[in-house]
Amino acid sequence: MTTAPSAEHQRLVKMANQIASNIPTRTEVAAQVGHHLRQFWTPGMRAALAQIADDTPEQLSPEVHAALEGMA
Amino acid sequence: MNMVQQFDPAQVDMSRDLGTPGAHSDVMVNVFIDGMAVSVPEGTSVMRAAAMVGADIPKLCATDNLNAFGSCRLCLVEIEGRPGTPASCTTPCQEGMAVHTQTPRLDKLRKGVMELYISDHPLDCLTCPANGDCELQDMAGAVGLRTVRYGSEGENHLHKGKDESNPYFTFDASKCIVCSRCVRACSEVQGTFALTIAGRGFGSEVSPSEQQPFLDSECVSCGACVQACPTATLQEKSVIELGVPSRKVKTTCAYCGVGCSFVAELRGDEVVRMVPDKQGGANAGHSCVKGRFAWGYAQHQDRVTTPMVRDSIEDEWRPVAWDEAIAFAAERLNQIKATHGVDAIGGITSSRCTNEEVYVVQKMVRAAFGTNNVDTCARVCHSPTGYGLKQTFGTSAGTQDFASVEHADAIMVIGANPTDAHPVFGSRMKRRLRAGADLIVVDPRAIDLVRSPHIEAEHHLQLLPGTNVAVLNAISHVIATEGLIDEAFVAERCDMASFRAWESFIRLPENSPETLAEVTGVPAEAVRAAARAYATAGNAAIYYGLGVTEHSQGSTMVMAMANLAMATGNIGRLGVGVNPLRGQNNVQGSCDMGSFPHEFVGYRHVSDDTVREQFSTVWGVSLREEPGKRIPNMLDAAISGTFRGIYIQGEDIAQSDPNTQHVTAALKAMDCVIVQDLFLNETAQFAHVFLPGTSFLEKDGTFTNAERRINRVRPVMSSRTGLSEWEATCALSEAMGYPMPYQSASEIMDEIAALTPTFAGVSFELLDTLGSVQWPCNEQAPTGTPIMHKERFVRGEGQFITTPYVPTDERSTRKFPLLLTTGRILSQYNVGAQTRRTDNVVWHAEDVLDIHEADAEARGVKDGDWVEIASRAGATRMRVRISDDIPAGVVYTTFHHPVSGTNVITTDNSDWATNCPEYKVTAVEIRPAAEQPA
Repeated sequence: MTTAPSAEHQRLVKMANQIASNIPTRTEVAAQVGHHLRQFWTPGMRAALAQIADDTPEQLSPEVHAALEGMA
Repeated sequence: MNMVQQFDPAQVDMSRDLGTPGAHSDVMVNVFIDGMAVSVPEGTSVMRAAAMVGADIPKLCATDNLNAFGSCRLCLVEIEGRPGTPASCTTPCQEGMAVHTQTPRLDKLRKGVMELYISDHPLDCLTCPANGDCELQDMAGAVGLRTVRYGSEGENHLHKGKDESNPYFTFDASKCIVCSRCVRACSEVQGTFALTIAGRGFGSEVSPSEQQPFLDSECVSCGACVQACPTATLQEKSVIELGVPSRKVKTTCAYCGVGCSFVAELRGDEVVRMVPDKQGGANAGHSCVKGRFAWGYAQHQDRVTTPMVRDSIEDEWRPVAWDEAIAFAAERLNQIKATHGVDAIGGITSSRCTNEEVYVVQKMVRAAFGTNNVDTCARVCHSPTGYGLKQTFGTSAGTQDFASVEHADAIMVIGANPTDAHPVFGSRMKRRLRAGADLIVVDPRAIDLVRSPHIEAEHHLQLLPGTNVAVLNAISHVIATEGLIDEAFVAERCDMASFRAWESFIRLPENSPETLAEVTGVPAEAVRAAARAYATAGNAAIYYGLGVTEHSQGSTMVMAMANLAMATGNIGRLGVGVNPLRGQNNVQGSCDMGSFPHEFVGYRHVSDDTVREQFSTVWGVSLREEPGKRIPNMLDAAISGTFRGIYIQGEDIAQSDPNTQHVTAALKAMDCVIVQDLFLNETAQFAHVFLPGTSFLEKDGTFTNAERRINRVRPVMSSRTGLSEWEATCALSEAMGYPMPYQSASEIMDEIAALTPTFAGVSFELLDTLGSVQWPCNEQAPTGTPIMHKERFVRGEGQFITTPYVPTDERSTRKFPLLLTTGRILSQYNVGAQTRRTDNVVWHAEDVLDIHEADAEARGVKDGDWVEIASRAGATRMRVRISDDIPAGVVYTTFHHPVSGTNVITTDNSDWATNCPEYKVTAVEIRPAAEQPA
């Protein structure tokens, strides 16, 4: 049985994808996304995002996946 | 001229009325006033020079915030070697001039003039509200008037009636001496030009607009005319009712980010009036309708002054003593901590509170709660400013002081409406515009500045909401491709690698005005003209507001503006800069004070071991090195059940934050909501503990305005709640196990200064001596820093950052074809908690929806009709007003009344970097609705 994603998870997905598409200087985007997540996200939010990446990878952009891999 | 005494200008008391404005000249001239030698800048009037040496010349039409007028004929003087008796206000000092201010001839002339004035003035001094505070009365005494030969039978104006239409002041024409000070104040100081002198000769009279009552006229009730009036003609109703004040306290306004200094004038513990402080660094003696008059909310019957608690939000409130309320709150929060961990609680600080009050809340959250889950209401307004300016310049603050605008040759106003939201600065800006500076307005709406008396924007880029970055990129593209970059400035001051990357990006055809015109709705040639005007003006300054920040690319836009200023060399001197106009009076301060979940005081990241160690040592507690939750993350976690307790200082998130349904669901889900406020606001409906707050009239501390100016807030009256807000916070902290034993607000500032390099020199003592100070204030800048980044940027070299335009997800569709944008009006302030509880409601009884005629007609809607406004988030109802201030396809409203439910329809889209909500773009549809909202 699948459950609907919580508002909290939906927000994390949206935030992460939005960061990836908006990081201004478009070089080393994954590293910049990772830096942004470390600077502004709680460890719990980062862990939840990593779980989303495992559970429903299609929700996150390639840059977000790359950022999470870089942070691991 | 033997035995000449040389006067020392340093002895001049600048708080006195010196009669005419000061002159600005490097050339000094020496004159003799009644034998006293004084050296003054060329252009100084004889009247001012005389006042400087203490030889006050009688005057009625002159005052030193207005240009000399020369109409009252009372200030006549004799000058050796010159015939006649010239008016001293309009006569400039010249080298060697010998002036006599008191002679038998002058005495006779002045008495004659005063006789004429008094012959047409009611002789009711004993019962006049201005008795004891009337310049006409003073001057009659000064000239020694003892008799009036003309009787009172002749033609006069004594029968003229009063205009009492304005809620705050009365116009009594029978007392008017037609000195034109009110007319000139309205023109020169406020810049509204609502007043004129109608008629001629004996029939001359002051006329609001076209002889309308004040309330119906174009008057904006700034109070400049009332302040300028030398008689009781224009008089505050509070003075008429209560009498002339007997004591004064200097303090700072609690409304917008201009942070005006006021002198609170009282009788006993009762405020009679608030008078703008002539020496106020931010306002220089001017005010707006809110600060000048709308302070009555502090004594409003809705105010709650007793702590209250309840077990459940379904229960009735139970008034309790402070101790019980604090114990109740502490027990609940500790219980949540014990059961769910420290990450399950947090706090929100308020930009309506003082630096000291904010500091102790964030300290309590970090030290007593044990978490970095602290955020501030600046999250929903200027958090992108913090992010963008820190990335590019190195610190999160505007670059200039307000006075800098007087040196700007081109002024770019982006997403701001200074005449309504920052009116005192707006007046200052208008003065510069009337003097000839070019104006570029970037805004979907035709704000007042676009066309107002004696001002017309040379460039109005009326862009579609959500396309700010595209427009700024197009402007920068023109500058880069037309050879308008200040290469020398960039080479000397900026990081060249980042500049080259930015330049390559901005020159791309995708950023040209022609390519972006379809997206932005702005014709390419208009963008090109504005870009050239900005780049070639000499001194070009950017002023911006929430129309920049409250977008999905708010942070990107701030960086785009910083890029533009650096590329054209418009940083680091008078007349230039990038200047956020902050919404609330202490937005700058609440951000400075470590209110963000990732930063300690002074914008230092919590992960910085050195900084964290410094705070840990002083605070005596271990601190976390990871960022905490922002407001939206706290609310989301509440709905998920992992965040269960919150302390909300002076903020009404149930009304002010986007997507109201989501906010209220989160509040309902929590076990402990603590609201500290003046009133039972919308958020308090979901609270378990209500801690009564103090109004600005009761506070002791500091506010920091939009120009980084730290101003003292002094207690004008005793606290009506029995505790100051910082004391209540400290009591809660102690009850939770972490004492904060401060004895005074001053002691809190001392701790802030000890922990914050940019505040190192700040103390109450310094502020009391200097009046105010702009940070950085430290050993390198002991009296503060009016202009930042003069020799080098705070981060060293200015950092260019490329700013690709990414459209917002919020787009108009067939179902929601209109774009709603929101803003503020002059008479109201934010969610209206304060201004709705004053007579300012006469100007704005309800929020309305502005709509273009074509859009209204297409939907069968007429001016004044009720409509339903629906978005993806929700729906609400309002009356419509047909307006040509907005283009077709865009609708606009304010959010000052909770019944309007404006934030029921705003979505939870937000800025990519900071989560600042995208209030300025919501796709909506409207349809006629029959009834009013419940």
